[in-house]
Amino acid sequence: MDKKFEIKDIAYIGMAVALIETCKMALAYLPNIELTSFWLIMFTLLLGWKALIIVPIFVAIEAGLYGPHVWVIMYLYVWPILILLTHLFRKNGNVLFWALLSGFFGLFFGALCTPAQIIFFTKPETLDAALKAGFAWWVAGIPYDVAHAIGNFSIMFVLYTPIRIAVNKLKTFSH
Amino acid sequence: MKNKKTGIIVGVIALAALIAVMAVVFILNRPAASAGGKNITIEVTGSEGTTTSYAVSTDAEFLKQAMDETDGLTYSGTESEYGMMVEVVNGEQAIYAEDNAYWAFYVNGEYGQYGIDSQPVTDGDTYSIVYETAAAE
Repeated sequence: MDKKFEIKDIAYIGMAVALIETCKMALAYLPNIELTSFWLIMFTLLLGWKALIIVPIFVAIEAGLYGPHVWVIMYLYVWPILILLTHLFRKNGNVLFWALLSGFFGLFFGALCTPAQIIFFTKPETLDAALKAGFAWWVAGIPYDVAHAIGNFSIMFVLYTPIRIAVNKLKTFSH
Repeated sequence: MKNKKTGIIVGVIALAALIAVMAVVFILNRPAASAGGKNITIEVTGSEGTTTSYAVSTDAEFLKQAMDETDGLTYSGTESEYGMMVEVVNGEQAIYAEDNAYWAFYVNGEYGQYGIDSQPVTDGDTYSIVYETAAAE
C-alpha cells in the first residue's frame, strides 16, 4: 500500500464514511448493534493506516447531526484503537479471529469510553470520586456493551468472508 | 494450524466468559432502583427560563416511567444507541441539529449520569429537565 494519499484513497474514504453513516442510521433503533466496527475493520484491511482519516470525518458528521458532546472525544480515540489493532493483525485471514476481535472491541467499548466520561463530564473532585463515578457509568452501560459484543461478533462472522473477498479484489485492481 | 485453532477456541471461550463476568458485575452493581411509593419533583425549565414544577408520587423505578405518569408533562424523542434522546418537552423542541439546543437532565442539581430509561428514581429527589443551548456549554 502506497504511503501517500491517492485519489482512489479519497474515494474509498468517502465511500467508507457514507457506508458507516448510512448503516448507523439504518440500525439506530437497535441499541449498540452497528456496522461501524465492521466497516472500519474492512476499510483498514483495504487502506491500511490511511483508514484513520475516516474517524474524524465520520465524527464531524455525527457531531453535526446530533450536536457536540462528550462522545465526540470518545469516538476520536476509541475508533482509532480498532483501526490500529486491525492494521496490526491485517495478515490474519481467519473469520473467527476477526469476529472475536470485533466482539472484544464491542465488549470493551464502554470501558474504553469511561476515561473521557470521567475527565470531561463527571468532573469529580477526588480520584476516589472519579473512580466511583466512572465505575457507575461503566456498569450502567454493561448491557449495551454485551449487546455490542454479540452484535459485532455475529455481524463479522456473517459478513467477513464475502466482504474480505471484495477487499482483496479491490487491492488487486489497485496495483 | 492446530495452535491457531486452539487460540480461536480459547478466544471464543474467553469472550463468553468475559460476557458472563460482566453480567455478574452488572447484576451486583447496577443502578439501585427501589420499588414502592416515592415522592419526587420533576422540574421543566424551558427556553424562556420559566420553570414548571411537578410533585409526583410514583412507584416508578426509572425516570422515564415517572415522567410517563406525570400529569401535564408531555415529552417525545427518538431511540438512540444511548437510550431515548428526548427532543420535545411540553411542546418545546430542542433538537441539536435544528435548534442548536438540547434537553439536559439534572438529578438534585448534578448532571444526570444515565438516560431517562436507566436513571433510578429515589424518594425525595428532584429531576430537572432544562433547555440548554450549545452556546451555554
